[in-house]
Amino acid sequence: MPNSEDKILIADDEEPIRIGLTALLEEEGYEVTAARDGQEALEQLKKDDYGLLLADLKMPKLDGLQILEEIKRKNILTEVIIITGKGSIATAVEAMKAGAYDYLTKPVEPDRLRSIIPKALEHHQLLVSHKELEQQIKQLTRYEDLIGQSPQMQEVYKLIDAVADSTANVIITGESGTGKELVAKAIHKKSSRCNEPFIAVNCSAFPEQILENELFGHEKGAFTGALNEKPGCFELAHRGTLFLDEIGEMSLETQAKILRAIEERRFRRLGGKKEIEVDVRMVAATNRNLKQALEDKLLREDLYYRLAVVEIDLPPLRDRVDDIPLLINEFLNYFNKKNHKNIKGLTVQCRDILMKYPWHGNVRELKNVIERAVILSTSDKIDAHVLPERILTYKFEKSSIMIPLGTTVEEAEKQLIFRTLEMENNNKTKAAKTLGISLKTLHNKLGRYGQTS
Amino acid sequence: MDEKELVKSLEVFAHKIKNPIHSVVINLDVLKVKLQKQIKDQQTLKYLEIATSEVKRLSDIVAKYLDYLKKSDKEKAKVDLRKLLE
Repeated sequence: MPNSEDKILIADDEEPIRIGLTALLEEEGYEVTAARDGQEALEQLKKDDYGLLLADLKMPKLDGLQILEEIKRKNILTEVIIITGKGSIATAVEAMKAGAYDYLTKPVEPDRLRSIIPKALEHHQLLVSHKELEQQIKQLTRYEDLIGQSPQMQEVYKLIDAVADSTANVIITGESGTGKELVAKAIHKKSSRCNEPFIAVNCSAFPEQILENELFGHEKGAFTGALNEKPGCFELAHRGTLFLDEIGEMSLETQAKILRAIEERRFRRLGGKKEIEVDVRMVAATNRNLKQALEDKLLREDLYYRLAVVEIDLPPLRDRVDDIPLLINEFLNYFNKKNHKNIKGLTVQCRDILMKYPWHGNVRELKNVIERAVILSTSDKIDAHVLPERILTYKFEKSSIMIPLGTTVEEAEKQLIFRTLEMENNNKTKAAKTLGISLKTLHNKLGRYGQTS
Repeated sequence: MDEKELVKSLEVFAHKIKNPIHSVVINLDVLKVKLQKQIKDQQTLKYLEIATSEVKRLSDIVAKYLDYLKKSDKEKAKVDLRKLLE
């Protein structure tokens, strides 16, 4: 893309002005294009990037203000200086309000023009680099459909980048809800197979016989009820990617059949004689600990080594707490749109709880909680009381206490004292010291709360 | 043509004259920049300076005239005193 830094577009319906301005600006070293009216100027803006548009206010078809509005509406970064015959303040205010960089009145002082243009172009440069930075930040915080800017996720993105275009099979591990299928999809999208099918099979969702039927398909009459032939997922994924989720839940026999299909790159449908050749990239996932699954003989070692050319381990959400606010925002936007709501954020207390909760269901659980909260919330900030019971009653770490708004000072004090005692293993002397009160005061307070020593 | 119409048409006239003035100012400036690079003869450039300052004078006259028209337009407008005082 050519640099827009020193490109200027002129829009004026009078030829003598176009000729003069073009020559003046070219003398200054700018690359200049001239348009005869607003319409032509807009078309030019579509074709090329300009740092600045010098537009006459009054023009046929589209006047200066209308182009300005179009530019702002389309998020074009070109700066606009309006040249107006009227010296009226009203027009100037209107132009500035619409987002013009400045306005000049006719006849324009050539020296004024010379001095204002570099400033406008500099401003344009700032906008461009700002946009580039935004883009970079966006790239850092998300990768395909995965969201997260934590170092752990950056590692995952790097691995996907490295492995996507190879032919290597991949095994993805991670607790449920960490986004294993999203990683599989990202691998597919980044690979040269991206225009071919991505087929996902959840191996735990079918009984064994049906799973094999799903994977390999069957010929007509293979079994009672097999009225028509049916291609399996291996065939459907030809030239593409086959994603096997929860491979640890498959029987060892089925695993053996899959291993053979992967090794030979061919297989038979159920009840079929003909061998079908396939070219499939395998991505498998499991929420089991792989070592444990191998030891427990739940996963065939030979299949494991076939699949695990590259292993990608997804971190649980509680290990990347810094990504939680990012995820919350993302889900808020998503569910706001879906439910036609306009929830702006979370109360401090609510955010605090969500940051501390251990999220055993990971991102999926967080997503569900936000969806529920968006639906239930009646104010524009989600408050803790719309969170599910299991989260509100969750016993957070001993080292912190949660005091909901609306608690009386007495109740808060009581909780603080009891929890401190708990932390200090009921040692009152230590508890008093931690609380910063005398042992006598502590005894008094405990007496008032009805606890005797 | 009554007085109001006359003032209006003079305003339009003064406005219209700004476009050619604008273009003359710009084009004279281009000429100056280009000539300064090519000729060293100060006398030739002097004619250009004169033309430039004369256009500037013309432009000032038009601006002052427009100001005057606007003022007289305002001063002579009919005003409902009762409404103004309310």
